[in-house]
Amino acid sequence: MPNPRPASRLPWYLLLLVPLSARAVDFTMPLVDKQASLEITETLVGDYHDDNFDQDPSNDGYGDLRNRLNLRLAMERWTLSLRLDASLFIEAPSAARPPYRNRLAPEKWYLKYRARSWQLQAGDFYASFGRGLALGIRKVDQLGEDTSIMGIRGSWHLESFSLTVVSGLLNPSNTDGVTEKTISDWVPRSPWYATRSDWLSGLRAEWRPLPGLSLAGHVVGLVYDPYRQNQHLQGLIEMSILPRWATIAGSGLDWAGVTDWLDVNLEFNWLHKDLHQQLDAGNGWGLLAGSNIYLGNWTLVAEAKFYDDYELYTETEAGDYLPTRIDVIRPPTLEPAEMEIANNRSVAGGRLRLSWRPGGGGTLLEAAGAGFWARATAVAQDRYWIYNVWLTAEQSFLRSGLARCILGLREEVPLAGGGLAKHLVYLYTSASIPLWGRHSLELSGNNWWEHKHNTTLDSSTDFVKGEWSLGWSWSPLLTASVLVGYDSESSGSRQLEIFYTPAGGSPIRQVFLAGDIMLNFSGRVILRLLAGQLRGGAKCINGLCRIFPPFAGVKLETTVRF
Amino acid sequence: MKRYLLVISCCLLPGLLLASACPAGHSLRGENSGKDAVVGDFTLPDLAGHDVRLSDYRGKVVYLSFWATWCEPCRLELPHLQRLWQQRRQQGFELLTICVDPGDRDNLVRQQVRRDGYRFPVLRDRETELIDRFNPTMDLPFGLLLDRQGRIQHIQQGFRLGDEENIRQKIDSLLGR
Repeated sequence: MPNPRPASRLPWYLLLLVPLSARAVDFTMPLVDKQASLEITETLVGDYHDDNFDQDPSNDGYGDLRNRLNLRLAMERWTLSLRLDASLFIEAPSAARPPYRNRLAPEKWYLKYRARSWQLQAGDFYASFGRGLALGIRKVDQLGEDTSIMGIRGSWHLESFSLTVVSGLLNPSNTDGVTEKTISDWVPRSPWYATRSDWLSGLRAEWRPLPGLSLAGHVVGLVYDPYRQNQHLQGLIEMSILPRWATIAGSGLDWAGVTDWLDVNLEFNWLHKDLHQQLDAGNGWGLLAGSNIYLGNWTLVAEAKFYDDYELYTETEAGDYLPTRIDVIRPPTLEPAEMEIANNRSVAGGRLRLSWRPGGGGTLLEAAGAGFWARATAVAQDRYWIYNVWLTAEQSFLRSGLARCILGLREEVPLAGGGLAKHLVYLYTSASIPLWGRHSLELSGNNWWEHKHNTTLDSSTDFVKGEWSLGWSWSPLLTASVLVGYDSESSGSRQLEIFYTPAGGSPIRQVFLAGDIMLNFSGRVILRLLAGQLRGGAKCINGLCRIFPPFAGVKLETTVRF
Repeated sequence: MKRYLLVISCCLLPGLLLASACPAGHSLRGENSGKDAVVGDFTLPDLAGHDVRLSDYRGKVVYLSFWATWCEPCRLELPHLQRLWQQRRQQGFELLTICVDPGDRDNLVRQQVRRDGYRFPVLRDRETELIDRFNPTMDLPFGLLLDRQGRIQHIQQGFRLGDEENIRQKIDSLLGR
């Protein structure tokens, strides 16, 4: 496909008309003469991607328009849903590559029939069994880069008993689990089945004999097809170490309200995977147990997790086949979610979180900790002892204001002599301050001080990274924020400079600056302009939380909801 | 250029066709709501596993609030919503909150509910099906205010101090206060 020429401004103006045209109505369906309703959500994002200083020029200096039109038509017991995606790239570095290919496609759809005690759905759907340890396919990204299962889902409810059956193709949009980019179904001159993803089937039965008590059993089967994906993606022929099929079987107990002060839960899963061209077929198991205790103003969460090789994908030492993986199972992390530290593979440990709200008032004090043994890779010697402790203090003030501070310490110590030891001290803080009228200020930030010590080479490095934002809001019309981020880890530099240029290399950005303005017209039409550089991850900016991909440039977003 | 126009046109057409199919006189705000869509029914489990249907609340003014344990603005918003719910429940206002955390965080969700003293119903959208329907960009917090007929009359994206007053006014307007 040839490189596109620069586009005129006309398409931009035309696209801006889409939000204005979106409506939601009840109407009489022609032909059948029945009442129907239509829901519409329309999102249009225009980006200009500047140089993000990631050493990869192929993702800089281009523009894109991405449009998501969500339609949901309901008539009596029937529902038809369609998500129509359109992508338009301007001056893309490689228009032939799937991430930069102009496309218009019905990315997701489903048809659902709902009866009193059962329902049947064909098309795209998300699915989660129990706590997600055996199956947890959820929407993972904010704009069109989520994955799903495409197939059939049926469920049947009868008083205290329910049955769910799912079967279909996993990740039909071929989302890249690492970069969260759609890698597309498109391969020239290939039949559709040559580029499709894994096949997944599952069954779950649940019985609720008492209020709050659930007893469940489930089985999930998965047939992998990593061969073709890796082949056309990066030329990696890693199929020799990948599983070809896997079975997960498990059961769980969840009892909310054993007594007024106690909840308990337990889930066990056994995993068998057939490793192609390896003699030892893989077996793994995962156990998650927990309880909540409530004693007046004190609350306690205690959780234990034992995972032994409980992962569908066997990781290579280099870990280099990962771009095509989508986690079917959702192994919980024992550490704060916002830290995004995975300890998912082979783990034994637990966590506690003790909260105290003196007098039930506006003060909250928390102490939390997690400790576990973990194996980071397939290498048996690669074992670590990890602990993470953190304290939280929170105080409400001025009727509606809230301030919060978290201070923590995390240590990662290799158990077998050589390895990388990590020491981390972290601080999270935020304050929402009411001003006059409907004006308010919002301050939030975090800072990590990290020390890494290679015990084999006896060398050490220190890093610092963090992100701070200051926002002003004039409710409900206008909010504006400034964000400053910094990260000396990605560059490997000991000093924090705006740009760090390694010997013989090109500059790497270490300091990130961004501004964000959001205009809210009656809640139905929202315009958002973000400019600058942003480190990726879950962020709350301007009172709005979202998972942001790493970004440098200008982003204009319009959202219309009905 | 022709390719761009083709893509754009294909993208625009469904929206424009839908718009032209809609009755005239329709308001973006939904104030002229005779033809606004009634939100379709859904069923979600609460924290104890009991199924809760939206249609059970027809005839009431309902605020649907999506939240997550890691979302700080959600923690700022929920006490305000609880206060509104407690003050206006007798007049026909109901608050349904929907937590979108994954299943493996159920214990943390339950702890937050008890720790922060939430009295309102908390439903679980573990599979993200409902939030994907109303809020495909997955912004949090996110709220929908439904009138007594079940039509969307206000959409709240995010929460800043001061927004609680705006939400209160919208609710009061629908309650006829």
